[in-house]
Amino acid sequence: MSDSGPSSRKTRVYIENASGLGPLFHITPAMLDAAGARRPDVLSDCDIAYGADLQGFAAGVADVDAMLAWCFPHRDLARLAPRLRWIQLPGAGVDHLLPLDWLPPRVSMTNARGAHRPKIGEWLLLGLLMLNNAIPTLMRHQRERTWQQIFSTGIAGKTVLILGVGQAGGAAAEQAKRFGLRVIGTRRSGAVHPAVDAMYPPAATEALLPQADFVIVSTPATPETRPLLDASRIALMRPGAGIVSLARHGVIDRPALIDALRSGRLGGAVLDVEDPAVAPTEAELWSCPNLIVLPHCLSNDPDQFMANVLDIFLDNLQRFIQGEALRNLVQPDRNY
Amino acid sequence: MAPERICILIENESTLGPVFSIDPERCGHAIARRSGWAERIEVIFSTDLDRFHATIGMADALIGWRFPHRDLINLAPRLRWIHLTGAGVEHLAPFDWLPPGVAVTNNRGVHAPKCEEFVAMVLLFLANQLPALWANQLQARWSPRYTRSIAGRRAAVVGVGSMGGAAAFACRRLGLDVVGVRRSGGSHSAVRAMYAANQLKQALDGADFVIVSTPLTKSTRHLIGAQEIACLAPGAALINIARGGVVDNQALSAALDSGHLSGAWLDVFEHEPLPAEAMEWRMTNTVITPHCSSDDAEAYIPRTLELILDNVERLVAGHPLVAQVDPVLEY
Repeated sequence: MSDSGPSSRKTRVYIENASGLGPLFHITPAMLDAAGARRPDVLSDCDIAYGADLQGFAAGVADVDAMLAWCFPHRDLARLAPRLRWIQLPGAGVDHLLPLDWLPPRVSMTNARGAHRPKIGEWLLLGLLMLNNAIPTLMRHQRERTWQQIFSTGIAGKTVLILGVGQAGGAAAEQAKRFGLRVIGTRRSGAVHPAVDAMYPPAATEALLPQADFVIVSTPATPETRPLLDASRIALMRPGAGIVSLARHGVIDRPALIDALRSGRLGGAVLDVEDPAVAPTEAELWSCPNLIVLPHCLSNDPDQFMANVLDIFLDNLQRFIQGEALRNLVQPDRNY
Repeated sequence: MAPERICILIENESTLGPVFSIDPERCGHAIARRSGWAERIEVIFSTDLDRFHATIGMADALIGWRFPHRDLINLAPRLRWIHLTGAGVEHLAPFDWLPPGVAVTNNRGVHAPKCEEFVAMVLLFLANQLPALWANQLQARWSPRYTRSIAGRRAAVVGVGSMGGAAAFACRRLGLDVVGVRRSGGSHSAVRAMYAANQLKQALDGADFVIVSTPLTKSTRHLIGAQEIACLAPGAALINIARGGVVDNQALSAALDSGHLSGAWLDVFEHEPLPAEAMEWRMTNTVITPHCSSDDAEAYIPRTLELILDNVERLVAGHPLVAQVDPVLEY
């Protein structure tokens, strides 16, 4: 921004849509205008161009300062977009762009962590309540037309361990506290969180796993977390404990999880699966007892998600124009 | 004068399982916590009626669920009080067999904490359209369905008694807008707007969720039928934690097939255990649980004993009992 003030040149922004992601994720000028109405004057300093499915991408980004995009030819980006200084991602997980060695030092990248609230906390709570009430087992019984009562105890006072307390894990912690759970968590910084009773660094994971009735897995997928829960760590969990995971493929060793569910060592699991086809366990996933497979949709509220993303985007756009620090920076050395 | 002694006959039914069994150990602990009562309460335990006929004649109070109620008028001359260890008492209605002067109480309130948790889960389950997602999983089909946050949506609680009140609190905890229906029309702290029984359709109008929690009585059989379901918002969902007979499941099934309703959760049935040939097992987007929504595996009997012993103290003191069943209203 140092070489061209707003008076000499409007900020040029390229918005790249991917139709494969579905209509929920398609950003239209009307949606951007609606978000702009909540934040007057930001867009008047900008020239916004739209592209879809990488058609005309090279020409579109050749002279832009900023880009809002999810999938793009990242390895060619430095060459294609020499003026680019900022990329806003309309989602949270950046694993599809790892490693971030392609990201030029002059380019900041931000993600949309937080845009999934409050929906993401609601379904993580749902996962906990389902596991506490043996719903995966009861649903299997229904399929077999088996009438077999399973009485559960109340969830209040039980312990949930949240591995990776970021935005999603924090939303889950808030919901869990509302239902009386004891919440323990890990995060890289170890910094306290108002809804987490005791926070630990990731190195404490193995000491914490035996304490938990439920484990929520909400870490980003990075080389350090692939896998985070392998067979030896799953074996540390309490007999009958449950797992709720929104983590990307590879964070949980799925064959080990399936083994633990089949043997009955774990009581159940609720697993968000972003793309079953990428895993060799696909066929087993669908039929594994006491496993609920969720097709990567429950975190996204169709009424709120993209509006939240655009609010984050416009807030950052204003900061970008004014030369201020951006929010939700992705740190290349941490891979999230 | 020596303090009055009270003789209580506890009749357990073994087929109900350990969750519902008032065993001597837990009963003794509960009495021991009340100073001075151990020597004033004599408890007789009977299982599957093995000691019932031999001892009912000396009982001041009867605690149980199923027993030869029509014989009580001849067998139990001392009986002053019957406590039923469940909430819905339609299996004993009509109450024409009730000896004069005998009070009846039930377990209302004992289910509330577990009920609240279960209803919260079911609301989130249905709001996220998990019935449809589960159907897809059974066919190994990965097919996202995006659904809105539950906060701000509307729930109608039909029958705001103890369980309905717990359901209303669950709704509030999730940020829903709650309307309710109760016979009296009286207000409730978790319910924004309460309707009287004759305003049922107004309460249901536009609701995204309906939670059925009325007792089954002569006036609530098939209370929720096609017309009532039609009042709900398109894509709404139904939860029945009351009794099977309160909802017309044929009408419900039709509404699920047509897509007017997006899902249903049934925990109670006209015939339990639900027969293998019953159509409910395979109703569209419907989850079946075997009547286990609100009974806490550990806390059910301790809470029951607290309610019973509170009432023992009231009975001896000549005060009105709590959780009384009205024999005319049948709940």
